[in-house]
Amino acid sequence: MLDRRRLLQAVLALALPAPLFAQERANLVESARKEGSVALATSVSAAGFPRFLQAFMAKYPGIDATHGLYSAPTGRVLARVDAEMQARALTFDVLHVASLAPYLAMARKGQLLGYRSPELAAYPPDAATGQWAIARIVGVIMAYNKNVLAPAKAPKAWMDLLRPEFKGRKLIIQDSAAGTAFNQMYILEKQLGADFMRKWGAQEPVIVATSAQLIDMLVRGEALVGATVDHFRAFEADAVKAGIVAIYPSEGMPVAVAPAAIFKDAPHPNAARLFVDYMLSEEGQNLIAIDIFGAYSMRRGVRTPAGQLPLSETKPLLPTDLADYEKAAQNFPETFEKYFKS
Amino acid sequence: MAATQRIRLPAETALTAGLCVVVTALVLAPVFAVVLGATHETGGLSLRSLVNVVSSARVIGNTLLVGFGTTALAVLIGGALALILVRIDTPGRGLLEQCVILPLYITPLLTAIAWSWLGSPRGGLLNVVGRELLGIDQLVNLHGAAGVVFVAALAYVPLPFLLVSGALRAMDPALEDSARVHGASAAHAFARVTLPLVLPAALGSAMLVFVQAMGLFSVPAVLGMPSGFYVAGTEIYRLINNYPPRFGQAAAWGLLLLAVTALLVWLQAAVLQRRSFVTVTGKAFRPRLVLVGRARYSLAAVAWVYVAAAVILPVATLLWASLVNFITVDPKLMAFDLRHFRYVLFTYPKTYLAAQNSLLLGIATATLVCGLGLGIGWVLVRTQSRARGFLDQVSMIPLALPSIVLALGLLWTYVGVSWLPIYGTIFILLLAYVTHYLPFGVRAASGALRQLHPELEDAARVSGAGLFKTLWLVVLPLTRPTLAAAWTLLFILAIQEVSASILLYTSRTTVMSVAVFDLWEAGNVNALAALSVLQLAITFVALTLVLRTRQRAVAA
Amino acid sequence: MSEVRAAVSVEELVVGYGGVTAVDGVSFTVGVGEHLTLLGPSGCGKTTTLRAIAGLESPRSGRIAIDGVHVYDGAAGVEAPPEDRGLSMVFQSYAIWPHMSVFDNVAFPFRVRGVSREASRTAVERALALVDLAGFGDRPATRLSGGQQQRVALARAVAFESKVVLLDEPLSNLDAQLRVQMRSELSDLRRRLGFTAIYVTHDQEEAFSLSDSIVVMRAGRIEQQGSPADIQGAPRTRFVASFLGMRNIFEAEITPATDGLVEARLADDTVLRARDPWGDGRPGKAAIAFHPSNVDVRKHAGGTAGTVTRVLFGGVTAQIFVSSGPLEICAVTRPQADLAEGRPVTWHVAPEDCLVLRE
Repeated sequence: MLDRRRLLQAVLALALPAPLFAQERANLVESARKEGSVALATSVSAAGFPRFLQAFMAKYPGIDATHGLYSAPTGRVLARVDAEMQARALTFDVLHVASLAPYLAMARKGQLLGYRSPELAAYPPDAATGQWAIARIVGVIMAYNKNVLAPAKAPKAWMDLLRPEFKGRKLIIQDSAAGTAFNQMYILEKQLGADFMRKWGAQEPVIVATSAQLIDMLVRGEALVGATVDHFRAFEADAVKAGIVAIYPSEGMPVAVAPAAIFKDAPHPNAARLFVDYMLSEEGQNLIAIDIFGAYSMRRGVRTPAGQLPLSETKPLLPTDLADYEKAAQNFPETFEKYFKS
Repeated sequence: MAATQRIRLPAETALTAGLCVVVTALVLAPVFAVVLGATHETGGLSLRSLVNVVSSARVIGNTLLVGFGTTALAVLIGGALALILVRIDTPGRGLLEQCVILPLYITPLLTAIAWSWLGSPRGGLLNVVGRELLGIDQLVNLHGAAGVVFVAALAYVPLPFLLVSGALRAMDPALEDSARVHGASAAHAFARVTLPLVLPAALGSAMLVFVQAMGLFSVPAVLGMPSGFYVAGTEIYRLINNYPPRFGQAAAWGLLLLAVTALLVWLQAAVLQRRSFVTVTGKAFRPRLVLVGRARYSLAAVAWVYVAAAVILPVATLLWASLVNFITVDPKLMAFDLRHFRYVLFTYPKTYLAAQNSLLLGIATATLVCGLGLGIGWVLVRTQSRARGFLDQVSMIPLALPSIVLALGLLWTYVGVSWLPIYGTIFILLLAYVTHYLPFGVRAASGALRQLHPELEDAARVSGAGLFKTLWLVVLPLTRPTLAAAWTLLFILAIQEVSASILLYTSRTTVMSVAVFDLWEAGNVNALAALSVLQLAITFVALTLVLRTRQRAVAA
Repeated sequence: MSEVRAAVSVEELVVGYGGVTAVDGVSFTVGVGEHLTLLGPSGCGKTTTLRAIAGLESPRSGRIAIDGVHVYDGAAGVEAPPEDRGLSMVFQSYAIWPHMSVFDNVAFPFRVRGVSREASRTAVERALALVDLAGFGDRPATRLSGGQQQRVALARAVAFESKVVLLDEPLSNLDAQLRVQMRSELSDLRRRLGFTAIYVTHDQEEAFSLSDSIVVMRAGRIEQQGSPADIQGAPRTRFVASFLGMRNIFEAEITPATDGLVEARLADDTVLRARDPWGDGRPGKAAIAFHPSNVDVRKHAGGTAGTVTRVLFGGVTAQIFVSSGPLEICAVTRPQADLAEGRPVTWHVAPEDCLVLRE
């Protein structure tokens, strides 16, 4: 079981990658090629994501990674996965969504394949369990448009969101569908208390479906402060050009992890292993975590994306009690409704 | 003793039975899955989802507000436009009539996005201009109930317009004349004779708009969600997108909408049953024009205002958005930029595959729905079969079932069916589309058949043609004008379908509407504008070509 | 069996929809080459009967045989679809397919049976020539007058040389002059081609001028059937009598008389001598009927005295209503100046024109 201290350690630790066993590797590639394809179910909506799939396919010709792909918000992904599992007709191999909760639930139900990627040698021990490994880390921060709000008036801390000038559709938050938003609200509720959450809801924030839409609305000057911003969105080229400024809140940055896991009944288990290996490899991490998303990687030696604060300087906030975390996730739609939609 | 013909299954019975099976598989199977989904949880029967939904008073209230508000506004505008363009000597009637139905070809999602750029409370262009030029802080605010109703009504006006103008054309002008002869003033004759006669058409269109407005998704998603204004359609979307997803509750919302609509259809039937109108004979009359003098220019202006609000302004906004780097509050930062077109044409991986799939699905859906519609319509109009009630009611269910709930039902129904492996293929999308649009096909075909003298078919039967030969050689060619119009509309609608598609597509079976919607969810609105502009351009060119060919065929 | 084989026979036919019984136990036969007319007012079930023979309505029970083959047998569960009955039909609306040329309309029965256009050309052109439409083949069917459409419908019905042709009020949509002309053409055509015809009309003139036999229908049942002469000479019921225009139908007390005639005493105590073809002169109450044109109305001659109450002029004839006790007699004569309203007159009907009805 993970705990906060150890995970933190893991995030910050450094070590050398272990060598791979060449023969085993060749066998795996051969079996994966026989399977011919790998099907990914993911919540990523980055414009550059296909580049990652192309890179994988270029490295392992003969394994198609686009055929069975389904990408949608986490709930819709799980709608498909659940329906397929219930019917014992699973078409997906790999799950990659930006929320730890479904992995905890699935691991508990025995729906994930036990697999430790050899790449994990380059990761801190708590970046993975036997079933899943963290492929990407997303912080949740605040952001504002300097053409709309003077930097002096911008909030510095989460508590500043409660200032009276931010009442009445001046803040923008994401809807409960986002895994990162759940993670943030769970942590802030624990750190700052239910009273903070109630007062935040009373500010009547604008609610949007995705973090990308949130940035789009900030760019258009629709509101003053984005309060549930996936941190990398604030550093995208267009956003910065349009005047978006990131705020790392003084209380700390809630950190959400996006693991990768293989389903126990995956139809292409070897190709899936190869895919997860690639995702966790140095090349894969630089591509998916850094170039495409501009997020943080847990792999040792992978740089922090340009312009961002290194993870260690952001005061990362992590859940401490994962059992409680998983339970809270089950009720999050109702919790969100209680705070923000009444 | 006379010899005896061998016993055989009559073609009518075979056709009716076949259609009952098809309709059951298309409609009842997913509906059954939805009912199960709404009433079961892991561990057995549970009414919690239903109870949760029924107790969501605020969302139910919002949904009804949007339903009734949109219907009232759309029927009012559509009816008024029909009068202005059919019964009054308004200048430019011909062109206006073409323009007024253009919103049918523009996805409500696009209209809503364009209007949200124009009328969002702070960053909306109208408000920016208002602040700069007039010093008014907030000229308009389209985020919320008013905006949703306004934009939804703009999008649905063509339905009442088409039905009411049709009724006005089908009305014998002698009816009004006789009222005038018997001493009624023009206004009186209009109020006492014309209005009551077009009332069934107006009510019929109101029903159609209401049913769609109740299940509305894209407009409240764009204009309602940001201000916390949720209706059933967006609530279902939220319930399905969330972790953990609340499928049971989403299904229960679908059932609630179905129940409300069923109640209204029943009420409407009860109201209309007491009146019998024989004026709409299917014969077209040349409507008598009312001369209104100078006022006709103002009336033309009113019609143009609608066209501007529903077509010109949104399309111009989209075009503009597709050609700038991004939309932001500071105009100095915005610049002309073709990169969004470059992106959707060369980088965005979905464009070509999606266009190809959409085209295939559009053609297949329109063709199948017209075919099934003709078959079902024929059984409804021409036979005394006891299965008529069943076919009629079941084929109308999809009208009231939000398509995302239908998609949920299809997902549950077909995911594990190994002898019919359509899950994950383009056929499950086709199934969703055909089911969702079936009511339109049945209505269009029944209407066309009612105007066709049954003896034309009898003559073919007696001449030795079997039922299917008769349908092929006589009924199909004679209903072709109506079916061709229905086909075109269905093609357009199928290409626009988004709510069912987002749950059922795979990367290989992605479609244009999903590509557009993905760009919306990804906040990539300028690329969305570029893709939409391309889609609109292609649709427009294709339609012009189709119309040309048809005109040439008629001329030949 | 020695009797002539029937072209069409209908036995105890019942047709109904929902709670309505449109045809209720109708039986008749048509001999080969005969022309039989189903005559009656609208709603009497004549068209439904014809459509049941064609297979266009599904009966509830009974039997229909065409050329000796049962195409419908309710008890045996036999019901042949229309296309397998080998009939032709002319419809009231003509049912000319507007999307086809005249030629294609007439060639349709060949086409659906797999005969090529070329192979059917001779038959189609002969049929068009028969109805005086030679050379019209290439015209779109929509560019024809009503009379021409009627001829195309006829050509289509006879081109395939079906043995039985059904005609459903084929002339009712034509104007009066054309109707008379088409009637005689139709009669010629049938005589030339020798097909069996079953003809539905509400027009007694058409019925009597075309038919070999007539079936008079009322409310789904057969009221009377026989040759035109039989029916014209001896209507059996009030309905048939009044349908044939016998406006004077009165209750009477019948007593036997000489020469096979009977004496009928009316409510005004007039005693008329009358024929009794359906009874045997048995005494008692019965109705008598006579045609207005057979009433002899004069000033002061033999007969019953009455008063002229109303005169309606109608071209060459006038209808004169005479009150006679409690009765009102209707007569049709040439207009006469002295038969004005209020004048006393006498009226009389010859015994051969006066008929006892036996329902």
